Amino acid sequence: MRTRLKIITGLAAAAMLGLTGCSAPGADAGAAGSSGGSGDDGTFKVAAFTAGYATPGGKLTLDKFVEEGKAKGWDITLYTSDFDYDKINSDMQSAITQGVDVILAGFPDPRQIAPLVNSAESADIPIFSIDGGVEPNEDFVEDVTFDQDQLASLTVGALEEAMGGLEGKDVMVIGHDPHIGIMTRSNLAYDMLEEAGANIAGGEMKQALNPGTSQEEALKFVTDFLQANPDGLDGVWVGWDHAALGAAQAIDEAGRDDIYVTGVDALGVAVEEIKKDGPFYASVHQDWFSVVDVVVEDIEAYRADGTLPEENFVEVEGELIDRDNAADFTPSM
Amino acid sequence: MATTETVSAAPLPQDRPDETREERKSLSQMVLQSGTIIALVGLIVIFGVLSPSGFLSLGNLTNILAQVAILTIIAGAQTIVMVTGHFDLSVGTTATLSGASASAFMLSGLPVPVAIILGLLVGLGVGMINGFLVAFLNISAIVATLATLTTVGGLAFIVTDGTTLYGMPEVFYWVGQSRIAGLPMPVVIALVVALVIWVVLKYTTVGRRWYAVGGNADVARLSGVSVRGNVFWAFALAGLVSGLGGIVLVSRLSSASATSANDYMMLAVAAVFLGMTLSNSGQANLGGTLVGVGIIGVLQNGLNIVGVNTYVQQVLTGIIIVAAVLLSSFKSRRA
Amino acid sequence: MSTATAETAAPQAEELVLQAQGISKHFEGVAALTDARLDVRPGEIHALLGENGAGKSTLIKVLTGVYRPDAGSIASNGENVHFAAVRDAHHSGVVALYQELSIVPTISVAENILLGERTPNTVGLVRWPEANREAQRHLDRLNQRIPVRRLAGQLSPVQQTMVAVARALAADARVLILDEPTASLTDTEIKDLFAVLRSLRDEGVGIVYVSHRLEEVFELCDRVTIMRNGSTISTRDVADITIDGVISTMVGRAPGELFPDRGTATDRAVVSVESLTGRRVQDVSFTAHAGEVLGIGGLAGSGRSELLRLLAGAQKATGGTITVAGRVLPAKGDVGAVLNAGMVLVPEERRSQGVSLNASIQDNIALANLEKVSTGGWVSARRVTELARRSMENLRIKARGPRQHVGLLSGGNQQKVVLAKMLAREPHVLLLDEPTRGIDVGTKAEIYRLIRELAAQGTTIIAVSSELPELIGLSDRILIMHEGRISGQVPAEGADEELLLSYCYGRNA
Repeated sequence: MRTRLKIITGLAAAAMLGLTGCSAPGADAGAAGSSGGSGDDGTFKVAAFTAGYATPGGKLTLDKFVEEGKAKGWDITLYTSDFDYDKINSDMQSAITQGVDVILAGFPDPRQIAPLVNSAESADIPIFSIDGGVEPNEDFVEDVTFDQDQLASLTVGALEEAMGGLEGKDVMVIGHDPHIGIMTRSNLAYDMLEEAGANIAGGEMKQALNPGTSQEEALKFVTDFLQANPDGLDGVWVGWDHAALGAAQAIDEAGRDDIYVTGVDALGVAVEEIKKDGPFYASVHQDWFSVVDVVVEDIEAYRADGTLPEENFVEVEGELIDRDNAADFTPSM
Repeated sequence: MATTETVSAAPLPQDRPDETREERKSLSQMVLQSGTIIALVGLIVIFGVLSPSGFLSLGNLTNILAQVAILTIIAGAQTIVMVTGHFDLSVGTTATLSGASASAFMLSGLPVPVAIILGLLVGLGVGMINGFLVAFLNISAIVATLATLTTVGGLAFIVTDGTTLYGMPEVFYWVGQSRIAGLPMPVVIALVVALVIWVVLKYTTVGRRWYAVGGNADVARLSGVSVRGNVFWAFALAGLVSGLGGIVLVSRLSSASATSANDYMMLAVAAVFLGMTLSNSGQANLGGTLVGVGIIGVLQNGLNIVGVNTYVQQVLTGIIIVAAVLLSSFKSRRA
Repeated sequence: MSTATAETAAPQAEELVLQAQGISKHFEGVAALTDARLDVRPGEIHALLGENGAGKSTLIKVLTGVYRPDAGSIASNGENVHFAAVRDAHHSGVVALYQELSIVPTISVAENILLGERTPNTVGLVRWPEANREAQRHLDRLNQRIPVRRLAGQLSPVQQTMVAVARALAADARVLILDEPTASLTDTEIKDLFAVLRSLRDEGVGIVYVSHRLEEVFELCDRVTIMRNGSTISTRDVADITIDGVISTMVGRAPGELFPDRGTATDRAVVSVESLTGRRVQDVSFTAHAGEVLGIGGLAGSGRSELLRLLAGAQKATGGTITVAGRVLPAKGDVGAVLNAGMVLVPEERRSQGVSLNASIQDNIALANLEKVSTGGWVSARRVTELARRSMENLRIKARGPRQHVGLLSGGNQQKVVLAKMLAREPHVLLLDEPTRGIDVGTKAEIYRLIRELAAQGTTIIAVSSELPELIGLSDRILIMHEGRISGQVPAEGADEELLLSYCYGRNA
């Protein structure tokens, strides 16, 4: 009896897996459009990976890359994980063993991908990267990324404008060190604020534990801080919009209109907040689609005749979104 | 052989009246049992001394209540399952999925109440799947709910498309952001949920059967209790309650991400464990769970106010869980 | 031997509160019950007796809906009934109390009494005052003063049994089955329980009483039904038979030629035990010799398994000494020292203690003998397989190969893997706990032969068995334990089963 029940349930589960498999966009759907590349069977094979597929930016950017690559007739396989680099490394190593022509690293943490970099190097496969860190890196033939320094100075500048100066102001900084981009710009912003004479609220940078739950974490940071120091806060600099939303909500709920928040990413929901003229003062739009265009062009050039990009580190600039231009801005995320 | 007779001159322990012996035992048990409450009071005193104006204000009390409201709901769900002697690792992701589903339904244009009910049904459904796997297929609760945790977590990514859902109708935010008589709505909802679970566990036949099953499933079965049915419905109800927690969270934050409530699972388990040390029988109970939730809430809020960094907070929370488990195992060895 | 003699006059079916006929039940092909019968009259206490494994427990579980019988019929008050679940049996008034499973310790006395759909409630809300009063009423019927709100786990054993009886009353039991209810009770407590049972009998409840304590049966019961090998052998009025008559009916015929010849024992003492005392073991002394098979018998709970665990160092001794080949073992229970002395235990619970079912034959054997298959910490796969092949040949383990999973083997072959694990250590002394439990007759004979072969090589064997024919056939000498002490010691050759059973019951005949 129970055995039969188990078998039926097992089969049902398997059938469901099968169904999802059929309806999901097949990874090999692009294989048909082959053209004379350098692949063994005439197909130009690209293995793309990201450990940040669970973040809005990561998913949109990689999806865009896959879409554009397929339009060019590449055979793209996308490997993803939720910040699990063990999985990424082993997935990529097996992909390399099976033979690929190019690897695309999406938002990689250069500290955590050494195994796959070594495998690619010995197989002589070039790695193109989107946002692969904050400085030139020999692991990549090309790394296109945003200038973290510029992102930090844009947002710190916006905060200065909102608060009417930095000197003597109390500013909370919320970062997330496991993310290399956020870590870099948070530290830069921290230094800029200190140099300009602002006090860091709480004496050190607040660290969110988990990007996925960071909105609630930041909400608690700011609520609790205001509870203890009602007069000790003029602004909150946050490394990414998700947490910035929580900080802004805390200020709203405390009934304050003299504390300002800036974020980075220009998420749609953040832009809505900026439009309300509330505590959320500004964010930065990083046009990842233009980054994808650059990388896709350079990969296409490599496919055509093996040309590698001249510079292996390309920095692009972000665009500040604040009360002035929020209304005209169409967010991509 | 006969030489041992002389020993019996000393008073035998049986001579002591039964009642005094039990009272003495219960006194030492009481001290142990109230260890968790002492910890809560101790934390309040410590933070009160460290930050008298910030921590011990009425505003901060309301603030703590608001911060633990969702944990209370999800820990309530975990309590139900743990009363039956099982475990539900999926309460966090179930809450996330319910919240995200309700948001997605609203964004697709469904009326808010309908979307909320559908979201709750998603939670109920996950709970029923857990219950089916554990009760009827005899899969251990840890394995079964670990599997649903993973699957449901994945579904949450699919529902949100990996992004953050926002822009739900304004009326929906009434659930998470309005106030009744100065109390934030999530607190009111948490109190109602806690009251209902408390009544169900303590005063209904279903609740008492859950305790019987959790105490000794074999005896319950041999006494004519349907163990399978009871375990199934405990998981189902836990799924429903977790779903409610997720929906309140989404309304509170005005946005639904793919992982918004996932971290609540660990804290919920910790709260229930802390609460188990407070019962005579060592079983999960709602009153104890509330004390556990209180400890976690006070700890997090107090550490934030005093300015301890989040990494250290993590470490301290873990140590508290271990201390609780040690405390309860010490007691059950005594009993 | 007299078996189905003079049955008591069969009453009309409608006079019987419970009648089971021709019950058979198989578990994975092994017959646990074949043609079991039992009839219970209202207002009688009916003893159900039989050796270990005679099928008493299985029959009880069939009667109470825990198992469904393969064949046979059950009637209650002359009407045929089919119990698909315990609840169905309860509805027909058939309730069983199990010794280890009488109460839920973590809920109150009242809740224990009303367990199973009987709590008074209004739309699901328990009416506590009424529930407590009702529980109190059932306890009053039993003359018990137990606070109904106390946690049942805080009660004494007899109080727990009383609570379980009260639960049966709450379920309106007309047939009450008790499985070894007195095992953990003191003499006074037993008297209290008997008084309660007699008053229930006088109220017309039919009581089925399972016990190993024959004196109790003769003191308390009106009729006895005796089972052997899954079948009911006879039902008699207690007044018509004697304890010795019961014992000979339980034992039945002598077993066939399962056993190899003896004659390997020597005079060289290998194990000597002096005044050994520990949990459930009291002042036990004996000597076992090289090449000897020493059998240890006794009823469940007599201390026979605990004695073996003491020897193996799995349990702490509180007094006495164990000497193996001239070396005194530490009293604190040191498994390593015991192993070093060349003594190994093959445990009874094969599935939980002896062998890992999810691992292959070779891994099972190798894990217990890592030093034999490794050099400097590195395990050699070749030596693992070799060792397994050798063991499989020696013990004639039937399997596809050394890599086959143990869980897929028959019970007999699993037992051989357990033996192989232990024999690979080349022990001087082998401790066996129920070496043939759950094994078919063919494999039993093979294991007996193997044990004797080992003895012929000079190994000392100490084997615990609950089956008297096995003890007699296999051993050179038999010790019988009763309540932790050695109650009898006889040479196995030509030993009388009835005498042994008397020793088992502590009757120094």
